[in-house]
Amino acid sequence: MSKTLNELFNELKSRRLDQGRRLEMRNELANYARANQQRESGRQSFWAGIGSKFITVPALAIALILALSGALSAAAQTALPGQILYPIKTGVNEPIRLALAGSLQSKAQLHAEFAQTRLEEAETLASQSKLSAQVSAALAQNFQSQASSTSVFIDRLKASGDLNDAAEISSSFESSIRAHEVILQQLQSESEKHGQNQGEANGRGDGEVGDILNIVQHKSQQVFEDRVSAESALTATSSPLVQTAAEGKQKAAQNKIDEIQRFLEQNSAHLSASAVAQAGARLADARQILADGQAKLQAQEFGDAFEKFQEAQRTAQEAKLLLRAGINLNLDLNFQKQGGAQPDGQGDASGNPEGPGSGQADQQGPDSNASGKSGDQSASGGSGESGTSTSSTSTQSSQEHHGQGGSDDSGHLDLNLGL
Amino acid sequence: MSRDEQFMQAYDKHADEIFRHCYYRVFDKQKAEDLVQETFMRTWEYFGRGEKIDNFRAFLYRVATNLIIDEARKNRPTESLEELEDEGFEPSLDEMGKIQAEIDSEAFLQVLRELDEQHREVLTMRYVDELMPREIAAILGERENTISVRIYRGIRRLKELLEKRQYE
Repeated sequence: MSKTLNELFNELKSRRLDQGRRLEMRNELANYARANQQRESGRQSFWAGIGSKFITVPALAIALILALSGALSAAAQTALPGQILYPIKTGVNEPIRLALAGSLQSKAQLHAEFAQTRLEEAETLASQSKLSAQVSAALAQNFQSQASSTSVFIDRLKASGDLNDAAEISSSFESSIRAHEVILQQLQSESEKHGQNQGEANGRGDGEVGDILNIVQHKSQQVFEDRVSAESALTATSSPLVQTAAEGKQKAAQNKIDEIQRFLEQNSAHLSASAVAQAGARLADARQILADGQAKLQAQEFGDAFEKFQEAQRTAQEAKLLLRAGINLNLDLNFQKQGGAQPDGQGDASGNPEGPGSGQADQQGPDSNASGKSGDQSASGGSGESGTSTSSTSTQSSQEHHGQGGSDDSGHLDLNLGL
Repeated sequence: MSRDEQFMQAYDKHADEIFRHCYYRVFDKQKAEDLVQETFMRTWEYFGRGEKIDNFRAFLYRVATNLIIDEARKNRPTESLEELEDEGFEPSLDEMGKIQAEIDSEAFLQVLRELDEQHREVLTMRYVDELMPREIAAILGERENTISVRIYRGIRRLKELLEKRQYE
């Protein structure tokens, strides 16, 4: 059929953003805008903004004077919600650090750090049975905001061509979120038990932890997708670039494993036998994955090698986070994933071996809607197939490797089994 | 209205057209989405810290266009001075283009991609984004005459490519 140029151009006008993506972006931007109220030109507004939100004016004046001296801001760093210095931590220290961060990469890392800090605060309070519903909600909200900002900056890193940092930061964030899922789950089940024993006398039960856990699990899906997507972008670039990235990542993974080994040895006195054993097993896993990666490297499969090395690094990192939390919170953590044996690499590029417990049925509800950005990233049953092009070979090999109790991938992926 | 409300309103109004603008430059949905996000983020960095934006639409286009340029890492050739002596004129698409093209939309997209970057840029801005030559000139930092001439040449080149296709 013949058309005029006019008509042809008109057809092009109908192209638009996917509704879902558009909405998602809108939320991310809104969060970003709120979290990054830049200082207005003119000195007044910066302080006024902080003052109105977080601290009363006289306290603010004193706090700022002291903060500039460094002593107070350092002391504030370990403050928990409810403590006097906490507003300085979140209202002064964190914004200042963000404002001082020049690059996309440092901003991404800061947001990731702040997200994790919120979770650590919640966990510390929960382990002392001091987590109220109000504080829990506030922490959950800030966590969500920081995690969204992290996601946004990872996207921006990708868009700016800095694929290495995008892959690195998203992977590190992922391991952290997974570790926190495990920790929160443990805290929740402990407070359930506690509640049963006490007849729920003090009302600081599993509900508060449960709320944060839900949000973390929800975010976990997006964080996973961010990482897979960043890896895909990187491994899709030219072969020499991917090779360089893979070689660099190999060193990083090896260093991380060595670091955790040392940590384990130095702290074995503080750890339960079970924790030591579990961490040891995880490190063994990490070493095996590293070896798999080296084989890939030899075979010139640089994309797969890179993904393996990232996975090895994550495995080691998760082990460390769980060890540290076990010490700090006096928890007996289960490093292994719960739930049935599933083949590895369900549809994702790296065949993540470990993840937090997936056994709980009650995860179905909120998370099954969390298909987030790219539905094709989600796991599809146990077939080991995947929507992403890079995954198949790594899936195979990690399947061979993780035969035993093969529970793979984070709990949230299980949710898609039914789909 | 607060700053961030204004900003979100600008998003609601312009996100689609910025996406379209980016898409017809990079022809990659994912990349285009990333560019849209980056465009709005940078705009917020400017606006959120108190700077003034008179015309959000033009500002967004400018940021997006710059990002696209960075993305492509190219240098745009400059028009020779003599050509700029031409009278400015605005070719109407219908006049130029009662091209009875035996072509479908898919193929048209391909032909668009064959166009060189400079021409594609102005044609999509003019006939898809529906910006006036004066606006395009402001966004690209060129003279309005230059833009009109480029549009004219773009259409001519497009016509050539379409005709070539018909005879293959």
